[in-house]
Amino acid sequence: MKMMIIAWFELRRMATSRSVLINQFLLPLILIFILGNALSGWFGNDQEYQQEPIRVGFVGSPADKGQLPESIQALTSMPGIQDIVIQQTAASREEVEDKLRRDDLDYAVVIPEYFDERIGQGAEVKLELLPGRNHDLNLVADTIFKTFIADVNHGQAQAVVMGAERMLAVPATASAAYEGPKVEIGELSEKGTTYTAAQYFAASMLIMFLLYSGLMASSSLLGERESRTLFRLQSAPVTPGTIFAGKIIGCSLITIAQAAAIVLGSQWMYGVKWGPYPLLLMAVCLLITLASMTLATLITLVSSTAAGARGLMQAIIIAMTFVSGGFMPLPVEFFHKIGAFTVNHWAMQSMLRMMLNSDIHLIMTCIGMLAVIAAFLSAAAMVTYRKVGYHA
Amino acid sequence: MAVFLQMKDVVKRYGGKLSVDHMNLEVNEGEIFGLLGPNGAGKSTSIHMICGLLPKDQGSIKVDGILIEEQPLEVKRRIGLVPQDLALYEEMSAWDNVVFFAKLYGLRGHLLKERVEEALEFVGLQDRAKERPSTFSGGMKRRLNIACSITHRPKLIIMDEPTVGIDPQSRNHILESVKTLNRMGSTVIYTSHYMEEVAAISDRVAIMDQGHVIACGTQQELRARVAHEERIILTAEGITPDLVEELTIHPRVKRVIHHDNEIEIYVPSAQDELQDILFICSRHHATLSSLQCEEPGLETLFLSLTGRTLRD
Repeated sequence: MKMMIIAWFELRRMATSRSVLINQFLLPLILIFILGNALSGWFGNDQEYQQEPIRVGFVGSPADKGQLPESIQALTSMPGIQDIVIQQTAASREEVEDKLRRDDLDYAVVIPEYFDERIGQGAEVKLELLPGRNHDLNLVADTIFKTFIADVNHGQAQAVVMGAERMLAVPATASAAYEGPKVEIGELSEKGTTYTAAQYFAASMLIMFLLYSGLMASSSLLGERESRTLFRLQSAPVTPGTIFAGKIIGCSLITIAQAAAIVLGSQWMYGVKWGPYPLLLMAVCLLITLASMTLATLITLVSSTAAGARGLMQAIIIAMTFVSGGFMPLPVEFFHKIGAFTVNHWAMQSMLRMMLNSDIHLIMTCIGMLAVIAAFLSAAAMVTYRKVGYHA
Repeated sequence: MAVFLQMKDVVKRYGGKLSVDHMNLEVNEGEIFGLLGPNGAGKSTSIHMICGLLPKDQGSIKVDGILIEEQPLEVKRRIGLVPQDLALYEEMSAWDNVVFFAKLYGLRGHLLKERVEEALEFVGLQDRAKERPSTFSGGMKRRLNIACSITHRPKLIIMDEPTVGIDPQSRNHILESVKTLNRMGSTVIYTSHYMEEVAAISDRVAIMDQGHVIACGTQQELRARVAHEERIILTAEGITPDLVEELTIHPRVKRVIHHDNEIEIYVPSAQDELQDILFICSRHHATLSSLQCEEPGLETLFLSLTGRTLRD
């Protein structure tokens, strides 16, 4: 009963604080809006990717009288590639260079003389590849032509090993009939495959700000000590454990209200779809709240000042958010490995999978990992509380 | 009168240092008990132990016959502590502050409302109940600090230096409140390093120094211990070391304390020695601006017991 009196009073104190209302309720929604709009280009938009055509200039050798070798013609007429590569011929290297500079071409290939003959003789062949200004188009064109050269050289090596008669068949490798793509794109869950920037940052900001509620709890616990109100509280017929638990419950109630505000606010204002599992989403929010409060407990008990605790808590939250890709998806493997040990990573995975309507066992695996981390933090907080206590 | 608080052989150490050194004390039910001593004498530490806020290292403390280590919450229910530092939630109204602490003592419903109104009226803040303490003066905050401790009508009210840093009007209000609370049936322990305050309201007084109770009794009993000394306070321009020296070596002067333009002279009888003292001052060309003769008080007792003044 007294625990709930303290919790309710804590809730009321927080609710009267303008900074709590702004930082915990308004700021996350603003950040979701800003990040979701600013970084929307980094995320899928639920539509299939369409490759832009690439204007490729080919420079044949004078020895071939400007004619493109058969192997190259076979390559550019392959299904799939002929839709991407818009073939243009040029008389000289200088001409294609000039066109690349003026953006009249996206990419150029300079073919050495006697290209097909060299292939026929089993000699090593190379193409001179000149990239244009568009990085993405260069990447696609590089892939096409480098793969072609690699295939040719691979075929020649095979022929050398397996016999001369096979060498005659080598040019046919490049011009072999198209047998369709060797890789098929499937969907593991046969459900959604991608999420929007607003969804990604809504999840990331929800997690980060729920963790920030721990900062609020830590400041409140240490604030009682610094303002000497803890002294008076402890002179009342209440145990220190009741005071501590009451304050943590009060902060947790604020955190749950905050989670509801962010989820409903982002859904209503920005159309963020949180997926078809509201109860699981609630469970994830409760686990994050538990992790946040236990982290706050640990930091509060080992810190002597509110300022010190605030600094430490902020550093931990920001570091966890960063390595788990909460500010932006990180392509570095190292961060992925570290991120797997954070609350943010598993909370994020749970939410994103819910948004993608993934299979329930995948979602439950992520929630299970989050629960394990929260349980570990809770155990550590309990042990620390027993050792250190909460005193004026 | 029944003993309400009993401390027996209580010891408290901080690190290796003794803060309270084998302290024995008894406070009777219904009295105002003054605990006097300089800063660092061990008053606050003793109070924290009585309230169960600090564990003692040795000895026993009984409140209303209950051992504190056996039933700490029962003991706390009987005590209303007015802490030395203001302990208020500045962002909540005066009303909310008092209600919150009253609820922790188990008050509910109509009784809660009645007691909170009563407490705020008692400290003269009923008209400011809806305002936040951040808008209050220092004296008003001190009064609210008291209101938060008395809603449950504690049998023992402990006031730990409740008048630190406030204006004379609020100080008088607080001292009157202490007397009223006592008349209403509460036993009061009042700690201060202001001798005048303790002398004005206390039935019995204990003087603490360096963790010990060095004297304890009614004011009359304590004064009787230094009845052989009276104090003459001279304020003068032109006090020289030679003047102080000559006063010190006077055969019937016991002690001379010199601060700036003031000299305190302790003699067996002010009436008998005054003429001699004025003559010495005149010989050293000191121009007197005031002269005061005092009968022995608690300050004198403290000085005679420790060789120091309370404010040293």
